[in-house]
Amino acid sequence: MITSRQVDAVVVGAGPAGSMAATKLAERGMKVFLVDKRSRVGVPVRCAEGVGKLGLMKYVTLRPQWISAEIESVRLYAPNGDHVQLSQNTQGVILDRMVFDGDLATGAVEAGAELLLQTYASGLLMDRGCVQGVYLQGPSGEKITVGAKLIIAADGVESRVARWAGIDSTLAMKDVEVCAQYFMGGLEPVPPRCEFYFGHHVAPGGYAWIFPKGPNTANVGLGISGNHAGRRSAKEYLDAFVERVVPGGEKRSFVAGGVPVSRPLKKAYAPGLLVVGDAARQSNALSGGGIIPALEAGCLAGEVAAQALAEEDLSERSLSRYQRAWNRSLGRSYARYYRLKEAVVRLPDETLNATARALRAKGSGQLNLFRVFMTALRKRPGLILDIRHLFLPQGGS
Amino acid sequence: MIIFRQDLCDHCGTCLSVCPQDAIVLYEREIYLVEERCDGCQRCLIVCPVRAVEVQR
Repeated sequence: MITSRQVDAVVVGAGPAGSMAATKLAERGMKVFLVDKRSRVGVPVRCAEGVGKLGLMKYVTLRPQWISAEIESVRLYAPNGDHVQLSQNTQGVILDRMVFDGDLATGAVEAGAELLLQTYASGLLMDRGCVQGVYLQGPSGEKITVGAKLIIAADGVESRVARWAGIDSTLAMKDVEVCAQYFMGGLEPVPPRCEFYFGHHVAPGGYAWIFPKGPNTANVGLGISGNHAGRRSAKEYLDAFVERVVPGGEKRSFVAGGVPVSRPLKKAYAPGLLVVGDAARQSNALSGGGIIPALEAGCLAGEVAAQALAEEDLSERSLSRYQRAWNRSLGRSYARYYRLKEAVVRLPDETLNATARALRAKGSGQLNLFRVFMTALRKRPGLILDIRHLFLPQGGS
Repeated sequence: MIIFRQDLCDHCGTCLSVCPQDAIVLYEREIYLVEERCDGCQRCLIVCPVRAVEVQR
């Protein structure tokens, strides 16, 4: 039996981007469905859960139950095991995303959105090249056709909705980080410090991380570049890392996932459609961080969408306002992060070792990422040619 | 012929993100190949973080 519904907007995916967009739409009085294929929002999340506190506070008022741990320092490990410690100018936290994501979705519902769980988007209703709605499959496999003038594709790294509207968001192998992570317990008292491990034998084309969650627990994971995958899987690299670096810990749970490390989609919209978050490849290509760009894009898309619906203009011209807003806010710097990523993944282990050595020889003192980068640059001047666009007067294209 | 190991798959969707043919369907806990769309490029097999993709001749 097929049911038909009619709403103003459907948001596919109830992660941070989708929930934020649905909240903005509902706040402006729009009738919106927020759908997610999972049985529960925030379960599972494929995420190391680290995020900058200040960045997060631009979008939400922090709740203590969202925070698993407060971070006071960062340590970077070179391939040979030497490490440098960064003094924190930006505070970081490790989130409990199960609670965080759940609360964001609840916020959307409280604003008036209708949350449909165990609901899968199986296709787009198109009319003359314009998105007119979405085909859904409910918890018992029942088919629901939802007419909606606007669809927001917030369906994550595995995104389909944008493709169905003709936007090719396929990731090149060099533009995906393939990740695996254990939640580990039984650890020696874990300091309030995020650790990053680099090295071709550790995590080729990426890095391993240890992010504290509690006094004796941590997210321990790594990402490898898609173009270094094949010989060994991400999980195989992770098991080797855990055995070497955290041998006494207990593996309590496991999650795998992909992280886009491409440029964000140049055109994250189509008639009647907006694409946000990981689905729009809006994660930071250098760090892999996706929470903040998801929140930013969700806000921008929700606001542009509400305006477009009120004006009854869902054309490309109308929705292009979203793309321009994104380009003005995070877009430019995220294009730069991509170029940095492309340069940094090419740094050989010897350069990273020499960088750590030079920084340690200088002694402690205010060490930040900029000083680390400048030291790496001195060790490998060719790096400047790779990232020359960063130094153009207008800040690059 | 691409085979997905349902017992090993973590349903992370990384394979979908690199598939140029939109040949993979992923539900919350099930994954399927759309055989007629697959051109055998094996990107899914190469990236899979848990080796849940195999090729059978």
